[in-house]
Amino acid sequence: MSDVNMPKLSDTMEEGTVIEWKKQTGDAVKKGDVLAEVESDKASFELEADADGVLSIVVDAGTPVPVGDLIANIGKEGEAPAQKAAPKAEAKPEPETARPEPAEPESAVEEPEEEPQLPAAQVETPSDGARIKASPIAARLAAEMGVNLAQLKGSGPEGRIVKEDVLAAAKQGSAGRRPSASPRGPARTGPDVEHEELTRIQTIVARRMVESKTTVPHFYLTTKVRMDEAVRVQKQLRESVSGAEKLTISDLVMRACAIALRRHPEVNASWGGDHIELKRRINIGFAVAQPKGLVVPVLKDVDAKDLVQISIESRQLIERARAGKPSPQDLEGGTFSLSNLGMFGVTEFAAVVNVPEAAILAVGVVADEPVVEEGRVVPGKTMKMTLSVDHRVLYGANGAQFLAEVKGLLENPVSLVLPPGE
Amino acid sequence: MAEMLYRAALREALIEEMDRDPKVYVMGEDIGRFGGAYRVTDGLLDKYGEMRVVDTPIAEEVIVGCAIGSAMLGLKPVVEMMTVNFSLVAFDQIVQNAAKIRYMFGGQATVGLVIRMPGGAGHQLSAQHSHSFEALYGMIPGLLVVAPTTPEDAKGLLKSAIRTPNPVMFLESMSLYNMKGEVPGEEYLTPIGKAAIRREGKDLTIVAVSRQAVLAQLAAQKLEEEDVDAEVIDLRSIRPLDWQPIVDSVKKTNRLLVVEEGWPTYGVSAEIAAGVQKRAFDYLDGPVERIGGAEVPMPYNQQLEKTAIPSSDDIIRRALEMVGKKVPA
Repeated sequence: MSDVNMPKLSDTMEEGTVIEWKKQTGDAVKKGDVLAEVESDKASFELEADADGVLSIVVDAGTPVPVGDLIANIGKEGEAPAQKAAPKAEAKPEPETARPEPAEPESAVEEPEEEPQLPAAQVETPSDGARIKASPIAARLAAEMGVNLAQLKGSGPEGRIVKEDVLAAAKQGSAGRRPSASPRGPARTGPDVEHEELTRIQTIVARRMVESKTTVPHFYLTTKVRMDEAVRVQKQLRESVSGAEKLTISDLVMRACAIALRRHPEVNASWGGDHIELKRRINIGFAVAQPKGLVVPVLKDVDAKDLVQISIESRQLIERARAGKPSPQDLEGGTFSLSNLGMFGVTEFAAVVNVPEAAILAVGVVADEPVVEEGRVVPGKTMKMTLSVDHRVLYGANGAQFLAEVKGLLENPVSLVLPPGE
Repeated sequence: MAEMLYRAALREALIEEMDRDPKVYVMGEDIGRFGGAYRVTDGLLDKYGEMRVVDTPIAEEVIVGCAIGSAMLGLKPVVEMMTVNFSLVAFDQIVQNAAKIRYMFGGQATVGLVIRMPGGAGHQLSAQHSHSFEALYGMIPGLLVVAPTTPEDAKGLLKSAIRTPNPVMFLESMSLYNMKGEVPGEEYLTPIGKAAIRREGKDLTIVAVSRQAVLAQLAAQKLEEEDVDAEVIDLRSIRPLDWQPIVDSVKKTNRLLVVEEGWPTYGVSAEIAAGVQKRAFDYLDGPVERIGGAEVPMPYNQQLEKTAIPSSDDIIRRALEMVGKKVPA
């Protein structure tokens, strides 16, 4: 005889109600069969049989029952109350109540089995809210992916829920799961909120972002660039020029910005409190994500570098930054910044000005989209750029002229390919 | 690169180091005139003479004791125990003196000593001459313990062992002396304390020590036919243990099997299982599994001995179980 108790499905659940019995007293049930629909304070869920046998209902539908209380029994055929027609004789010997089978002979080199012999009910009855047998990684993934372990059947040894089971359940997704099911499996432990110490970089970024957003009057200018030519040039250079094999759109934008900054020196500037500092060198920083935070390595004297140099040197900077090993020189001396989130499919965004610089250019994805050319809709490649500007240093018109310059250079990229110093 | 036997690679390491440093000398039973029970030191007596190639009486405690004394005074002894089994006679010198003198003398004396000794079973040498003592030496603070499984590592690790100022238990394998492998032509050192990833895989990680690392690679090749992609890590260094590649691998495969030829109780596999459950608990998709030698004195009977030593078939079967595949009868 195996007890069916009201399961505890959430931390706050104290009682539950059987909304509907899906099986009736006298029905032969098999492990995994849905016995009933049960409602908790938060959700309703299906209660599954944890043993083979014949069902005997103790509590009728509609009656609230405290968690842990008996609501039904699953017994052997002989034990079933003789109310209905003889149940189908398909019930197999049940693992729960069967006498232990003789252990399989082990080969000499095998170690003694050290699995603790827990009471069967604790090991194999997930739906009573007791211990669920899941591997550590399965438990962790379930918590991360919002999969309820109580609703999974383990495919591992002795019914252990393993990684594959959780991944399969997650893949089935919300379609396979009841939307009302609590994502908080019983296996998740610990507080709801974790305290995570800041890394040094996170501290610095936080301070500088607040400084920027509280002291720099931002305004934003967005434009859309036709990138068909730039993409073509990128492809040609990658295929034919030694050193340009990994040339990126960011590299082209970097070169375009360097040329545009040379032509619009007022953008390559800083607010000095009571004056404006115009920078002679053009050093462009670019945001590189790290696992926790970001750094902005700076490529120096970009106006004096050709695309190959830009490609190679910025990649070296990125590698050092990602590895968490940028040198102090890598991070200093910036006069203008770039941020590109196109690789994540971001279409456009506005970056926070990297103080004390006057402007930062945020670049989105190169997208295939319909564009109008001479009154006809044709396929084209476009990219959106947003310039964030310190209004103390620059005004709408300055910023717009600079942005138009960058746009023009990218749309007619031949000037990007010319050697520096044009 | 030149193809070379494991034993020849060891000899090359000895020759290179004896040429490099006149303080390096070798000592042991039958290593000079006879050339060594496993011919590792063959020819060294003619080349370097009796002062540097010292035949000793059958007295392991004396051999290691002398070596420790000479190491404390600046020589670089490379001692050969005819087999690891005889090192038990010198266990007191190894544990009480070699491992502790540097500590107890506050660093005023060091014991730059290498004790080479072949171990392992499989040759019907019966209960007293078939030991694998990776764990026995691996548990002693103050010792470095390595077990090369390729000619390349045999040479590279022996050279590193001779150059370190600390006592190194250099565990060779009787079964590997005739193994052939590529050895770099130029000078190189294999660092002590670094495991080697012998094969990359994604389904489970097999960490093995000494000859079992070779069997694990064979097993991994056969597992490939069963569509199981095993990663094989050759421990190489028992003390210190190189946790990083093991932990990284388990984080990738989520399953770990550890194989040693020695008795597994309190063994290398126990240590690794304990360390991995601590370092990668949240990544495990099943219990860490272990295979070791049968917990009996090694039987003389050939079939019984075979059964008592882990085989590549044992590794294959356990790996299949771990990934939930059918295990052939």
